[in-house]
Amino acid sequence: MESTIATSVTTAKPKYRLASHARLFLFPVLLICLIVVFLLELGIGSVSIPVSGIVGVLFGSEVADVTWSTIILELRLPRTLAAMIGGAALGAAGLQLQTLFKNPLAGPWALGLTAGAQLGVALVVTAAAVIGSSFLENIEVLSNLSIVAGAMLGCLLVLLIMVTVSRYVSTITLLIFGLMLGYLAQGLISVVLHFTNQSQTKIFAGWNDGSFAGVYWEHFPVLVPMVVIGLAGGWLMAKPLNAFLLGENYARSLGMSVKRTRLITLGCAVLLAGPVTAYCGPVLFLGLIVPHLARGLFNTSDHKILMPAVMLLGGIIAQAADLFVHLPWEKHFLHLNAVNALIGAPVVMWVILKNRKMRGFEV
Amino acid sequence: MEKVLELKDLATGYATRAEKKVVTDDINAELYKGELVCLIGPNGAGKSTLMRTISGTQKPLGGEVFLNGTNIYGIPPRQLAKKLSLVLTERVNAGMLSAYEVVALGRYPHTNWSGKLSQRDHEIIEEAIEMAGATELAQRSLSELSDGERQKIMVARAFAQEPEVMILDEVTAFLDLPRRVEIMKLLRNMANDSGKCILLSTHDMDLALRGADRIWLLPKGEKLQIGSPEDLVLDGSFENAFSSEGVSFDLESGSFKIHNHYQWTVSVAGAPAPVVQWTRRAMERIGVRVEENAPIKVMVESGGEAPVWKLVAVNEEITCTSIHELVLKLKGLEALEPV
Repeated sequence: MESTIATSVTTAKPKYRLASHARLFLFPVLLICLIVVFLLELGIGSVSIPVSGIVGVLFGSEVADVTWSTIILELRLPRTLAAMIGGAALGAAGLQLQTLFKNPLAGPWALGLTAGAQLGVALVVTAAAVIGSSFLENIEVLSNLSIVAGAMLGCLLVLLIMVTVSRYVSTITLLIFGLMLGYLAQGLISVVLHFTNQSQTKIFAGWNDGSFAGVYWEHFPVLVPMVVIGLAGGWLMAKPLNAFLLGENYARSLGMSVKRTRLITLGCAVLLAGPVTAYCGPVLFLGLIVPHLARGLFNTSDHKILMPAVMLLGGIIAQAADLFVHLPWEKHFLHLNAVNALIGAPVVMWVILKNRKMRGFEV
Repeated sequence: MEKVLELKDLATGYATRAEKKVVTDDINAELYKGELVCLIGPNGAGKSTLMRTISGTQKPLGGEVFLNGTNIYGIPPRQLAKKLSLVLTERVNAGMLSAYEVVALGRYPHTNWSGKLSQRDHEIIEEAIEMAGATELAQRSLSELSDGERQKIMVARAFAQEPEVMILDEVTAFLDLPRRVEIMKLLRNMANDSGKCILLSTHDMDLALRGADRIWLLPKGEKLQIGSPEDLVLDGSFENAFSSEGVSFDLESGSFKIHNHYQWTVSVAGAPAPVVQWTRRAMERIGVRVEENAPIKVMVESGGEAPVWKLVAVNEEITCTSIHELVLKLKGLEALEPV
């Protein structure tokens, strides 16, 4: 008798069907998309390589053309992986910042983090020119690290300023403040670059035009661990970030440590946005739009679903944008940020029009 | 009765480096299992400060708050959240979270790092939703709900936290009367049926008088007074706490009235009773005292389908077909010169 009661309880279906669970089937779909874009990225370019060739190169078996191996392993694979990692990292950072600042237009770029990283890198480049470029160029790993350090310090500095300012100003004012901080950083960069030599300025200009193509194998040992820590942190903070949706006061009443959550989340955002900006240059829009697309697709604000969703979507969109840039165009060389703007700007407009608070109806 | 929360010599207020600003001190009070207590008092008396101090979000300037005998300022936040839950005035904007997911956040202090809900957690959430009468709302997005529905969900969430004490600060502030009554009823059920002890601060004296088991009355600049609603009305504490120039407490109706505007009095009589009742209210509204044997008489007659009002003054008789007309005629009478 008792056992029948027990089974009837455990087999009882949940009374409520949640909208956020209805779309979980999208995960495998996104995964397939990710793989397809990955293969397209490796296969398409000035030299077309068939899927069998890609698979052959990746798994080390014989392929029809020996140059394929060089093209894929030396050029396309690092670029593609950088796009995948960069997109996932920027998407996750954007989601964390949007929840933390309670601001739908927050993101590494909108909050001025990217500009901070740019300034940091400009300072490092200048320092290299002043101290003697040979110092940094000769010790490849150190130069590698010093750019990352510069970018992350710049990020951190801007983030600290933004956190302080966000206590005193409204959502929209904060964004304008971030924008101005970005311009300020640009101005400072121009001034700083005056003190450097032409070759370094050229290096900086190349870097400043965001692209995943500038990432080489030697960068991955720094990039990957940092991004992995940042993503893992984001995943671990999914529960507190959900509580944060109710506002700080409610989150605190639920037993959450607001200070600790804020600290860890901001730390993760810096770990994600800093290294990616250091190696890929400023990549605009991705961090801002990916969380919105994830929310729209999965119809939820639950971070336990959104975190993996933004990683997948970020990876897909960044690769797709990079693919578009590297299509075998005849005349032009497209810029990554131009493509990002083409996708990103309409999404931002849609967010502004959809969001009552953003339209200014609510204070 | 089982004592759950105890305030001992509590002093609330704000401390800066330079000075201490005490808002209320010498607060001694208890909350018992299964009771609904309303904290009322005029604006600026320090209700919110007291609520924040009791819930552990603001440090007291002196004294202690005990929860089952333990000082709450020494309980780690997560442990405290398992015993005490909060509902606040603020309008929550939870993005695309459904009402169910918001209630589920009440399980926050009970779940592990990933926040995974067990079968039992789901049962508790469902129970809280049913208790709040929000079964219809559960699957909808919180952002689609009205203010009243949203507060219901926030109350359900506080209940799902399985606390011993629920503290609600002005949660009915933005709601209309039916919604306020609904929330009050819901809280009564939660207190009496589930044995929670609930402290609700409110501006709504009428609802507090009718719904609370006991009242904590906080007059401005004075000590906290505690008693059953009726006791506090009868011993004049109520009137003392709220009355100010131009407003007085009416013992009979249990509500506050604006002082009479006219020296003269009117008698209201007739049938049907509801019409007479509302005619009296109209008189109060315009500041005319209603008394028996007054020099001016209003007779209500159910003339056919709609009632008519006969206004009998010293030497004239006027028939009115609506209260609006009656009021206009009364104001026109010479006898009713403003004081």
